[in-house]
Amino acid sequence: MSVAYKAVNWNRHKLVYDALLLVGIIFSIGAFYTAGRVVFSGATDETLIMRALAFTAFLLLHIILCVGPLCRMSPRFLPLLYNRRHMGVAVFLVGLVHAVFALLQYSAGGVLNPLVALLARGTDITSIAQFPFEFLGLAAIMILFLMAATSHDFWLANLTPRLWKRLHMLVYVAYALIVAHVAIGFLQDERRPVYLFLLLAGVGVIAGLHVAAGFMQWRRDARSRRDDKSFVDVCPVSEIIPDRARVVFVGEESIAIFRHGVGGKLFSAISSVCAHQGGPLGEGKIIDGCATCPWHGYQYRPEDAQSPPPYTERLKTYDVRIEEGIVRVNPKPHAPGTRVEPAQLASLETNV
Amino acid sequence: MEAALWIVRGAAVYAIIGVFFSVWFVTRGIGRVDPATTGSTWGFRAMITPACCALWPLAFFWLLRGRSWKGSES
Repeated sequence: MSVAYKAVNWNRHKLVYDALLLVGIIFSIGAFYTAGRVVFSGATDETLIMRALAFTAFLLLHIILCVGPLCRMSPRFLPLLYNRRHMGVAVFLVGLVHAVFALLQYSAGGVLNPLVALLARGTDITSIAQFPFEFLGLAAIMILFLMAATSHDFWLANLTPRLWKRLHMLVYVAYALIVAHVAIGFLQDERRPVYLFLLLAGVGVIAGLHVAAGFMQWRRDARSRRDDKSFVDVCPVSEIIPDRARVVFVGEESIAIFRHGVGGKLFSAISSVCAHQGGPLGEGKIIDGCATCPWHGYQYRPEDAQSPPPYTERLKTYDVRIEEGIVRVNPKPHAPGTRVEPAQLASLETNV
Repeated sequence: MEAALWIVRGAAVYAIIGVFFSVWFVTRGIGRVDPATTGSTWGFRAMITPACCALWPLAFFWLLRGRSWKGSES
């Protein structure tokens, strides 16, 4: 958290995640190359490798862009979200190798520097056939580089989370550039309808998931606005599993009510937005007595929303009470780190 | 053609300055902008070097300022 930086805070989950990622990348490149020898019978080995790399990077980018909305729709997908930045770095590295292959294949061999040859190529932006689609790929790889290079927590902290988040939202610009790069480049050579269909299907899946996740969020917000009072009902106590939380959205507040303590008799309400990277703290669980963010394992004590020493992160806290078996929370926040006595479940109300 | 040549030359000069600056920055200057880097590993320093190369004007600005933007949102 806020102690000395390390290159990577490895744990078992990250090792397994990265191993699966590496195996997936190798499999994707190999499978595309093998299938490509049949499908693109006239293509050279260099072209097939270049396309296999492009396909793999593009596929990974689709997965990355699907993970966010899927996790907002169901916590089952959270394991994919955790360590997503390693997948982002992988997209850049595979994309970079594709770019180098393409540069060497199409722009090297002459007297000019390959980059100069690429930039000096005759272009006509009024014609699709002559449009310099390579520039679109170049712009995308520059964005992906910037994102991969600034993915470490050092940059998150020093650029500030808000600017860092804005910088990393450029992934959507990179995606649009790559879609155009594929449409104007690859689809000009390979005119079979199936490729256009696959490209549109990918765009459709990503757009559809984002719209669906946004709609679900809008419905949750609308429901919370309708019920807004000084204390709002959250749910019956039985609906919060011990060592887990229920998230409620009231106005601009995203509040996680954690059930903790021996026998799950205590209820504490803290902000559901992790101080580290805005992660969904309310989708995490109580580990070692602390609410633990599912993204990167940042921890907070439920009573005062402070990270245990030596860490210094703090979140807003809220008053919570239990009335007639219903958990209720006041959405007016206390200052970050303010201790709030947990609501305690009477023995008669104990149920799960 | 001439424009392409100057773009590539400009990018090369920017990158070379970035490489020299970032080597000094990650070994010496970084502690001045973020004290939390004191005692950090060489693996960490190597990992942030590419972005230092790319964003060296920003890192240089932080050095002149004496600190980065860390914590300025809270």
